[in-house]
Amino acid sequence: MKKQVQFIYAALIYFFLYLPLAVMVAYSFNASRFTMQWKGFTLHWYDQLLHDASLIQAALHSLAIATCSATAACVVGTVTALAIHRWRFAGRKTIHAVLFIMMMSPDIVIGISLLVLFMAISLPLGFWTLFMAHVTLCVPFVAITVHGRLQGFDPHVVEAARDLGAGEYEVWRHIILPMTMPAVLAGWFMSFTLSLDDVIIAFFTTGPTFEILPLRIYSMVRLGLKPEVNALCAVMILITAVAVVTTQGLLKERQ
Amino acid sequence: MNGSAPLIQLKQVSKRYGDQDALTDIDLEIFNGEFITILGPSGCGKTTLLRLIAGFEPVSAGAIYLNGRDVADLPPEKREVNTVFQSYALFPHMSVYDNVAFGLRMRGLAPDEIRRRVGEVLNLVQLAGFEGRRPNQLSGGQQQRVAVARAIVNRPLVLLLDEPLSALDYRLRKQMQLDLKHLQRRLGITFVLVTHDQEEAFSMSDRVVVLNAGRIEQVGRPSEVYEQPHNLYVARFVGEINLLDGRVEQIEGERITLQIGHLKIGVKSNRAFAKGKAVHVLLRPEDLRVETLKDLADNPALKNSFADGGYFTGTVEETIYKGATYDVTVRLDGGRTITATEFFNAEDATIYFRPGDRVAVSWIEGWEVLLPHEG
Repeated sequence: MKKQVQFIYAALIYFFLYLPLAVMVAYSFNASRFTMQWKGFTLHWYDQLLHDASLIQAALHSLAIATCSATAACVVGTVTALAIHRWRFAGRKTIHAVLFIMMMSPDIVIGISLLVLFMAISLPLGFWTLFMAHVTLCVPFVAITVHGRLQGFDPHVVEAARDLGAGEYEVWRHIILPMTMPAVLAGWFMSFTLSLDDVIIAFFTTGPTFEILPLRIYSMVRLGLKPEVNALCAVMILITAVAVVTTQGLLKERQ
Repeated sequence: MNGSAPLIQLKQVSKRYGDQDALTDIDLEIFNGEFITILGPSGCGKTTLLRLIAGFEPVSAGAIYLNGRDVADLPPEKREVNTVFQSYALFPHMSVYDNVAFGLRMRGLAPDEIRRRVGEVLNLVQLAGFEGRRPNQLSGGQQQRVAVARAIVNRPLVLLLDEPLSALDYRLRKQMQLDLKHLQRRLGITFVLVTHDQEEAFSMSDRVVVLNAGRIEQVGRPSEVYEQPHNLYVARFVGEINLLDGRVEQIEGERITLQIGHLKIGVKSNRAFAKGKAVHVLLRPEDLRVETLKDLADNPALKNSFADGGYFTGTVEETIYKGATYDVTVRLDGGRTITATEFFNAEDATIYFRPGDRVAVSWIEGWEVLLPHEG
């Protein structure tokens, strides 16, 4: 009895969470253009997607910005995490707190504050401004993931390595880096997804010269729901799902 | 020991954390090939002492000499000392082989030489065939042996072991105690072991250092520390102890007559005591003799052999079965409670004493330890 209740409860949660996505994916295969009626299965919208040059362009932009900003955020975030883990310095606690604040701040606040900053130093909005904005968005996530993993280590492992003759460089190279690598990769995929999904920050920090996919979709939807958008979103769900599953796999301890 | 220079020498070593004294004025010499144990309760500074020798932390005052050389400026990676950590601290992302080979690789040895030495050491700790396993695929005892192998493969001058057996269950711990001791004999490497377990300290080491609140209380062979403790702290820490308070009545050379309660008892001590001084008489439970008053009355021969200086009388409160022996708790007529350990009779495997029995308590003269009264 208790098992059944648990099962129904879980089923309801998944139902409400994923019903909209399922409906959208289903409609991406619907042959009808204007009505919500089911007119039969088609791959037409996927085909059209492939031949929409400006959409492909926006998608490539999105992938490029996600890859670049995830990579940069990983470097900055990992170094930050290592620094606050390994050394005791003034401002260490502050950095840790600021990371959490940045993680919690609403996207719209980050977006507008960055826009004001870019305007103040009169940077033209485009690839570089968006890149910087997304790095800012992702660094806290990477830093906190990597820091969490470092905290989980036996602190004597580093001492053991030094005891066995490893200098500072060898400790980094053979102990700390390999042991944190799963968290760094997980942080990369997390950042990649964050960047790929972001609409609000991108809305404020990119310009007409550099259009990305979420914004493109947003403008398409304003003129009414189109089946191509459904197809496009289905593809993005797939990419996100792959990134999430990879992240989880990397973070799980290999027991 | 054999008159040679000590391998490790600590001179007036102190360590402070903030305004907290972890170690104060430690003077200690450790000799080549010795198995020495630092024994003390948790928080007494014994692990700190090990960390100072390994070089993980600098001394606050004093100096440490390794093979005659002051090591103050040597970081841990430059000291010919290896450590087995309490948590083992194995590298979780490396196989057993890579863990053990780590130190040799850091020293830049040829791959052939590394393979030979790792294989040799894994054989020694009975882990041949486990080369490819990850630490988390091993049992606690196996991880412990990897930690030992990883340290001794470097052939250090000294192996430091920080409570290496505390995470193991009782039987495995006993086995590893023996294994470590045999390993030490075989390799001839100096072992410095830290433990809070006096039994472990006694069964494994050549010498024991009793540490308390950052100071050395006594250094000596296990039997010395057990039989001739320097003070009450050491006596209590290394085993069960019964305390009687007395006063020095008369001194004739080593023979001292004590007034304990209503009894005058002759004892021996090579310590100098002044007449009239208050003293502690220390008696191990296994040194006490207990007979029922009834048996003494029935058997004059037993009474003659029991004690010539008189004996205490009391009532049995409780008996505690211990397997090979049993403990008898006796409330003496003066009010003090003492515990004696008794062996089972060859012909009778039942506990001889019953609660409420009237008994006489004495001990074999010369087995007591006399200490000045500590307040």
